[in-house]
Amino acid sequence: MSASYALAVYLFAPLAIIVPLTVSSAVGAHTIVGERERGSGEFLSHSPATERQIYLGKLMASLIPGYFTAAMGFLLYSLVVNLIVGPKLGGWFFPTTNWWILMCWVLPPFIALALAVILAISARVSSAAAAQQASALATLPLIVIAYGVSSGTLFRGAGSAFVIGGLAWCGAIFALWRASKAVSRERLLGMGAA
Amino acid sequence: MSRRTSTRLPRPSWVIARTDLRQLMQARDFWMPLMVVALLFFVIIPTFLLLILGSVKDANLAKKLSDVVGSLPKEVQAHAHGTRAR
Repeated sequence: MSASYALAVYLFAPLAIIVPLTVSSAVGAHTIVGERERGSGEFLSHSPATERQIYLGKLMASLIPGYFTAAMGFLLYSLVVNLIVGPKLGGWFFPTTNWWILMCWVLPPFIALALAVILAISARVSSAAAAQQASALATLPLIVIAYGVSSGTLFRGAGSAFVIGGLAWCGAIFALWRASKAVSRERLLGMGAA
Repeated sequence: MSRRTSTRLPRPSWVIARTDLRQLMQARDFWMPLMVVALLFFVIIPTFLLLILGSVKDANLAKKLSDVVGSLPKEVQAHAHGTRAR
């Protein structure tokens, strides 16, 4: 019984971070370079929207699928765990407090951090294939870090989870601010792309 | 006036995001594999493993599983066994 509980509560945690990161990176890699490939980058670059607004729009379009996947996955996973393990433990017990902290406080900045890197890459490269490759390479270390962090969050308790989440938020905000400078009208037109 | 507008979430951002999301929704061949991956990791694999784990009757396998729990940190072990960690 304790093996089922340990598996459900502690050993599946990394999946909760890896899957939404994968979804967000797949969407984010195409978002800016895709405009150029479709030929719609020219319309966007001549639109009245500022570069910051274009960046924010692209960021939201990439963040929403990742957060949606995380929320739906969390809901489905909670149902699976409670329906299979719950009856043996005397009732529904999942999500535990640490899982709530992981999903609401630790996971969102990691997705944002990955997307900051990916959007900066997507603005700079010349093809969607190159963006996909480069973003996979750039997000791999992040996935490894997220894997360790998610396990650590659940193993060490709420206090360290809040600290880890706080640090991740600081990193994400800085990375998003830096990445906002990568989106320019010239790059949407295909000038200045690598 | 212009200062006031810049502090709000800019409307063109929503238009760009909505257009991208609509295009994404229409590209079934793009999001279907991603959903399959998500289902696999969030539902199918956990269901399979938890069901397998719940129906173990072999004593050797049960011992190996308890060894896995034994390799977890002490606080986690205590929690998994239903006792309060010190």
